[in-house]
Amino acid sequence: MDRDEYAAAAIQGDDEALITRIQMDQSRLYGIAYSYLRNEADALEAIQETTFRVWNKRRSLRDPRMFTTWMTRILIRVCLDERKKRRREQPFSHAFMERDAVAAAENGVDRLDLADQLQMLPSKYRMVIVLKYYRDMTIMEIAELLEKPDGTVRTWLHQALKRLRSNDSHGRRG
Amino acid sequence: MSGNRTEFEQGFSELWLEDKAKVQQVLVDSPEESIASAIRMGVEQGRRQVKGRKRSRLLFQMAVAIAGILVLLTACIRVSPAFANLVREIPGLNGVVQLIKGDSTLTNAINHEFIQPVNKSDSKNGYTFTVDGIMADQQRIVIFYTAEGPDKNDLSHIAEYKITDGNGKSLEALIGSSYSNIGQQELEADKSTGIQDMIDIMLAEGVEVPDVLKFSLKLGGEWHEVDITIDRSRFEAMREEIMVNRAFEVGGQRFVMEKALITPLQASVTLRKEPDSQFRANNFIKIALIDEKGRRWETKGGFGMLDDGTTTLTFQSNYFEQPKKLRLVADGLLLSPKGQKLVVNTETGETVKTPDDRIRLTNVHKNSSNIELSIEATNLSGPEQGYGYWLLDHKAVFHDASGSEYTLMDRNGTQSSYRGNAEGTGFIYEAYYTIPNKPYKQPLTFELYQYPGYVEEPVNVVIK
Repeated sequence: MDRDEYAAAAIQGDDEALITRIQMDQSRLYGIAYSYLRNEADALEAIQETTFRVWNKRRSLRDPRMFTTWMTRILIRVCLDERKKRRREQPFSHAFMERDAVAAAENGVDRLDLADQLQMLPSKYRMVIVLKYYRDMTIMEIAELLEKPDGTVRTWLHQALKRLRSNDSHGRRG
Repeated sequence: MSGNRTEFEQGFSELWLEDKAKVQQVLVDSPEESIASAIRMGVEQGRRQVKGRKRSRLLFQMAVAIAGILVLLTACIRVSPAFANLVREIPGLNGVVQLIKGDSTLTNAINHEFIQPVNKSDSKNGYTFTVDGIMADQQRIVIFYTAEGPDKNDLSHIAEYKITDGNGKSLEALIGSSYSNIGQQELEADKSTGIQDMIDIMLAEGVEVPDVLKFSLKLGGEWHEVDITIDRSRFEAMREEIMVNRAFEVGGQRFVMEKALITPLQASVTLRKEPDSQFRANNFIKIALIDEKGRRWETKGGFGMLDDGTTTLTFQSNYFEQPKKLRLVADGLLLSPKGQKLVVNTETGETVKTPDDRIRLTNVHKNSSNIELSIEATNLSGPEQGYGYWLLDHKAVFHDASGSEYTLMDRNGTQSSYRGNAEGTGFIYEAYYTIPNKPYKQPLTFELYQYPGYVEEPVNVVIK
């Protein structure tokens, strides 16, 4: 069976086919999840949650050839939600992080590394950065995954870079 | 604008490369096995998700039971050529084989041609509802039906149905629906316009099979109804009832097995629990029926809470296998101390006091009228996994720090889920409860109802 045949069987309710089909894309999924979440445990949890959502919605997918795109969209949604959830769960550590960032920016001491800075970007900006620079996707590919016009993706990317730049230059000035 | 972007990008190029290289480094050694297991666990979680129904504890228990069975039954079971012939003679039953794939009891029964064709339809506004056939015995009725209509996608989320007896009275039964997740079949033709599914009805102990079942389904916004006449002569003699009356003890808890009833579609065992003020018996570990050849029939759950007096545990049927000897076996008992308090602060999300460090409040989500709480039980050891725990009782009362009493909301039942931990080695159980959004004086005190904890002590009771 090929990818599409596995996807078709999965949509029909064959759980083993579903597992096989998802595993065909596991590097891609894990690559995005890890690049975005930067933590193995969180990335694995995101994969599990994605599979769970895929399982629940599998009958709604009409075209088996769209399986990868469809599942990647779900993963992106899971990653974006994950950050929201974490923010709710850890109000204190988040506040500390923000305070540290402000302190670092103001005093120019111990400039935060890029990974930390990324962490503080609004989630959609961060996702665009991750897909573009860490997963090497084109603007068109990102636009398709996020289901946004490419102009919107360009704007988000620009905004994201602008924010990073302002943090960065504060740091350097100190 | 694009010029600016390039400039921005250039400013970062060095950093990007450095950070990206770090990420790539990690990804080269990505934990393939853990990823594969996370995927499996996601599917497992889907199969296990438990949606409580609002009506009663009985129904909730049922949902747990069904979720449990569907996981257990993975073996590939074959349908005999005899049945294949039968199917050819009864239109509409083609899909049945697919629907029951995985249920050893139903497959076995169908191999013995234990099915009553019905073929009755109701059509309205371009939608047709057909009952293809039923499998019925004294304990259980399974209805196979087909729904057809202009929009197939509309049909795959059939949510509303009603089942009553001939007089319109609801049945005292556990009704499992929407097997769609597991077995729902799209009709074969290319221009498929329908789906085939089944409804599983397990009658409570002592409830008579009605002569007529009225089955209504909402299709395209309108109720469609089919009356099903149940032919009792097909199964009336097919039962084996064994009076047992044997006492046994496990983990210091005393039980009496009263009787066993075996019919083509189900085996059930009635147990009576002797009251105990200190511990609550929650569930047996790996309970099953076993015969002289070592064949096992797994449990499907049961009716009622084990600790509340008399309970009926249900199992896969061995009616057609006709074992000579039969025993009830289990590896032990899940039990937890009674009267333990869980004290939490829903403002800060803190768990102030818990009788077991593995049980904690993990999430609080507020909206205008209520507060949703997630309570988690982590690090479940082997025997504790896979069971649904009622961490809080149905409509339990709780108190705030001023001593005022409140009640859990009964919003569409209780939901719970299992998921794996990051290492893929253990399970985390999470249950969700809703309380009214009131100006509580923190913290809030709940009484835990069931929680993980067990004794491993083999149970072995002779039935026959």
